[in-house]
Amino acid sequence: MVNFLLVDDDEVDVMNVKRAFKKNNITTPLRVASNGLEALAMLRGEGTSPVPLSRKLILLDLNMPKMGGIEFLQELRADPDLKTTPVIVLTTSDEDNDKVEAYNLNVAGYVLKPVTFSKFVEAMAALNQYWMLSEIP
Amino acid sequence: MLKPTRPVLLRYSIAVLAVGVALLLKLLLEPLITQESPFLLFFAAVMISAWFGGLGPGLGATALAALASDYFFLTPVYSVLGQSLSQNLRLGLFVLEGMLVSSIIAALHTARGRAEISALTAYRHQENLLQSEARFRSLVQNSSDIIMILKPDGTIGYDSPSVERILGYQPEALVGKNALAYVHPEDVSVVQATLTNIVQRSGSVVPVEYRFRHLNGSWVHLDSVGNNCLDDQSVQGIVINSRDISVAKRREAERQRAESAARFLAEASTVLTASLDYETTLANVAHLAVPRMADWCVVDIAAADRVRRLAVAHLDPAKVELIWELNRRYPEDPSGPEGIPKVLRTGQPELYPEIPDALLVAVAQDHEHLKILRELGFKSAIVLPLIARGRTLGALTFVTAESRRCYSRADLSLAEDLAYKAAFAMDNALLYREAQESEARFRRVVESNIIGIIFWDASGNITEANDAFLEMVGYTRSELLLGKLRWNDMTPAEYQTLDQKALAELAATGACTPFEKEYIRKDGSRVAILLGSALLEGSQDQGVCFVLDIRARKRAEQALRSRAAELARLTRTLEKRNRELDQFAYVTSHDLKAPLRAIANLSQWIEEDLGDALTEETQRQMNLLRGRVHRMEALINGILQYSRAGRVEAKPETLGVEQLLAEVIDSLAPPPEFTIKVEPGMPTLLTERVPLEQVFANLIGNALKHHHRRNGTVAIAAKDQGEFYEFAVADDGPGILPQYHEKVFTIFQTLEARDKVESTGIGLALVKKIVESKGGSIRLDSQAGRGTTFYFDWPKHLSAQR
Repeated sequence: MVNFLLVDDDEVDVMNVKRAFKKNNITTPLRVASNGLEALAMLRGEGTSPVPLSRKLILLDLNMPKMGGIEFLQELRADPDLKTTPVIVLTTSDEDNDKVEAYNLNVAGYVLKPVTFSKFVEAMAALNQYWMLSEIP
Repeated sequence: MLKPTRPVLLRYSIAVLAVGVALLLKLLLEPLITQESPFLLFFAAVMISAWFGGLGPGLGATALAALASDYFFLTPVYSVLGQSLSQNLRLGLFVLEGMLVSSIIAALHTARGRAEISALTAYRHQENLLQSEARFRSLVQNSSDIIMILKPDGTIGYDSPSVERILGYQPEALVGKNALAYVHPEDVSVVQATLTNIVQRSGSVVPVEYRFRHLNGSWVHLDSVGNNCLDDQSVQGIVINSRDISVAKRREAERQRAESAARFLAEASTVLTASLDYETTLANVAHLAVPRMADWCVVDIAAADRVRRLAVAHLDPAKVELIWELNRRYPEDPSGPEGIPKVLRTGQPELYPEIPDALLVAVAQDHEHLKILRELGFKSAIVLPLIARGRTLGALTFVTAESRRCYSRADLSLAEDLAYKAAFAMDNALLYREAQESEARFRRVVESNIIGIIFWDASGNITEANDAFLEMVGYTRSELLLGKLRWNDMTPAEYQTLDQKALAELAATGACTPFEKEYIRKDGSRVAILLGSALLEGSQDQGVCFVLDIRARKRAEQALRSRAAELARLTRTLEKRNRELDQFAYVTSHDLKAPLRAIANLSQWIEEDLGDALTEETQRQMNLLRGRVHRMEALINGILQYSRAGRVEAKPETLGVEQLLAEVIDSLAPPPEFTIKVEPGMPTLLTERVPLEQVFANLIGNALKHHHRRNGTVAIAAKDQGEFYEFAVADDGPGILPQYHEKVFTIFQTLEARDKVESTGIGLALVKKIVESKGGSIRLDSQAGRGTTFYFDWPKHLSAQR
């Protein structure tokens, strides 16, 4: 089972992901951090709900208070214990800068949040599918 | 009269000797001759002594002989005393005879001497007479003087042979002629008066000078002295002694000519130095030369490649204009073979003692010219170069005509002296003029007051300054004259080093590189100047400075600097604004869209959660809600696009416009009934892809979206306009009314209600912004109901872009 860590500050967006998981019958546990600092703390095993060390997948929003997605990625890639963690960016930002920076920080995917929920559900299904396939070997 | 010339001692010695010899002979001949004649040999001795020595020695010899006879021959022999009476008588007789013989012989001798002297004297007298006559004759015949004997009426009675040598006549030929007939008519009266004067006063010697006609007709200058010898029986006439003084006269004439030449040259010098204007000077020379040197005189100067006549003088003032006219009609040809042009070329004087017709032919420029030249009647000419400091400045020409005078070497020499002086004066005048012009130019520079000019010395004085400088430093001219202006006192301390550097450079090179410094004005303020300086020629501690007031420039520089700073600040502000705008766009794209998306999601979840409880009315409202959400998202996207247009620069690439259009049309997915024509001749450009794509997409998209029929037509064409391509997108849609032609390009302006045609009103504003940012322009041509054509320019090259 993959351990998802969703880093997003928008409640509707979190709801969106949860609803999309539910709609796709994805039962994978989903932990939520509302910004980069919180996410780092969870990944490093601090606080109330630490993330297991193995089989992690981070779904990362870019625009967040306290520590944004790009900053978070930089911290993550600088941490020897965490730097191999796969990250998929899930954002509304269509900025070229963000895309380039994200890819430079070795992200596994860059998903633009569609406005309509149904499209998002489709996107999540595709993502899960892909990940499952990656897990098999 | 006869003086015994022989010395006394000799005469008496001879006497003693003669007696001795007689005694010796008597003694030797003693045995042969008888005792009876003891005095025999002694008579001879007495006679010899008397003959040779005169009376004295004769008597002496007699006495000695008597003594010797007495001693040797009269008995007693060898004794003086003791002779017999007869013997004493014989001795007495002998002495008496001896005395007598001596007297006679001495008398005889004396008489003979007298006769000899008398004869010699007579002979000598005769000889003197003969010599004197020969001498006199020779004198008369060979004398350079002529001796004539005239009768009181002037008839020639005798003339010496020298007449032939001096006057050419045979001496005899003149005898009987009246001398006055040969005297120069001008001198006859003087000669006649002198002759009369001599005739009246016997023995008077009166000198007179006159001219006597030579056999060949020329006149010989004679200086004569007359002596009245009418009363002298051997002469009976007036002796005239005449000397040829032609040579002296000629020398005198030459001396006078030389003196006159010297006077002339002195006069010329005065005239030549009278004016410092060389044209006046040369005109003066010409006038000075006529008539003293020439009948007419012209002065020409060598000017560039032609000969310019400067002055003309003529004996006859009426002819001056003629010569000018001649020169106007036939100016001297600088390459002419003879005369002035030749002299100007060679710098050598030319003397034409006689001017042959051939020379006129050589000089004449045409038939008419030759005719005038011949009429002028040239006789002789001298052409002289005016040379000063090795440069031939011009030519001075003397010509004779009316006077028939011919120039000689002597004239040439005088003329050369004059030409030398004239050239010298002309050169001086030219130098003066140059100096004046140079001075005037310099004055002009100084007094024009375009820049400040000062003269300074190394001790800090400003000896001279122009008004521009005085105004710059706020001093007055009287303060300058009082010596109140000192450049080193006016220089602020911080500029002293610069000044020292400039002085060192001046000392080394004679000039200094212009540099900027300041002077302290009289009122204490400072004036920024640009200063350059050079030492005066030949001086080490005096120089000239130009001083340029650069306050205006400094102010301009200051203004420019503050403008530049302002611009830089503006640029920074603009860059900051742009960044803010970017930030705004970013924030918009994320932060404004996020709530929208939430609304969309939530509305959908409500719809899902309500399920069947949802009424049809609610369902429609839910759809409207999401429609509005989408419109809002489109508007936000439009703003984003608009804000980025022309600001985001991508790398240019080579684009085939035809290919690009195909892709754009494909992405627009037009309905199958719609026709989109791309005209042939689409260019290939090196440009950014996205902006051009956006422009075409919007224009073609508008044509599709706003068309009133489903089967409309859009045509795209391109035209080469030099720097630009002009693209046209033409549709046959409803057209746009003229009053909206401007408005359609305004952001958020739509012509139709958004509910009818979903449109943000961003498209054309975006297109206009993109096209203008590339340096092009966009316009439309449309009539309601006749379709619309949009034209826009797109640069061919990147350099034409903004």
